[in-house]
Amino acid sequence: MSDRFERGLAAIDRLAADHAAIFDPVADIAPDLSRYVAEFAFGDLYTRPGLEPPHRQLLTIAALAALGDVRPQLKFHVAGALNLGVEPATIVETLLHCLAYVGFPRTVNAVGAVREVFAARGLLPVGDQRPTA
Amino acid sequence: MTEYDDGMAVRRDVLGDEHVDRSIAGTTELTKPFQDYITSAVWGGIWTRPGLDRRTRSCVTLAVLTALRAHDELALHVRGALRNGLSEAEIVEVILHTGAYAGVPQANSALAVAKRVLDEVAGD
Repeated sequence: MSDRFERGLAAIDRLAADHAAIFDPVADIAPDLSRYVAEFAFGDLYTRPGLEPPHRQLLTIAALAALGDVRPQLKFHVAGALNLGVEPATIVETLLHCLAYVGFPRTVNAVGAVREVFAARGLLPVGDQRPTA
Repeated sequence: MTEYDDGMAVRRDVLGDEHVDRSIAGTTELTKPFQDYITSAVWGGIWTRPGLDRRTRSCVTLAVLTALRAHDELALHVRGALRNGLSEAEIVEVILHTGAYAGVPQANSALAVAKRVLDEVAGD
């Protein structure tokens, strides 16, 4: 196995409890796809200096919200952000920021996916950080 | 202060007086409702919120605009990102990172926009 693959696996494991969520769905049809995810995305990008890991997670969440139709990936990366210590309210705030750029439907759908991750971890309700005054 | 005033203050902070003055000067009766809306709702309603610092808001905005191929706004926000304290290297890193999600063509053309703007800023 290549160094990039090993680096990628290590990067995934820093983010998630295990890499089954990435590998299992494609294991019996396109195993090279999961290898590419490990090598290109996690091995090459997530190991780069220049952005702090929590920041990378927020960027990823924002990009996924902009794309829409990425529920499994969004849930994976929200869980990853929580595992890195990002506060639930910060994740919600990131999606509220994206609202202006991606519109209501994609934002509402993204928040719905995030809610499932928070609910599974007992993180609801998330308080609104906005001052009431 | 109204949400519009708050929004105008942040908009000027992030995009710079020169851009905002030019935008206001170009506003017509037809475009005024939109200009008022983005100033109040986007700049006043969202960019003023606590919970994310402006550097992070800039990073997130660059990622979203790259994914959407919204190159006019991307150019504005590359300048805004510099004003919010991002380095050139950080701006490029955000675009590189976003390419994995949005695709190489999106990152490639976003990088071209960023390079053009960074060259312009360097020449200012």
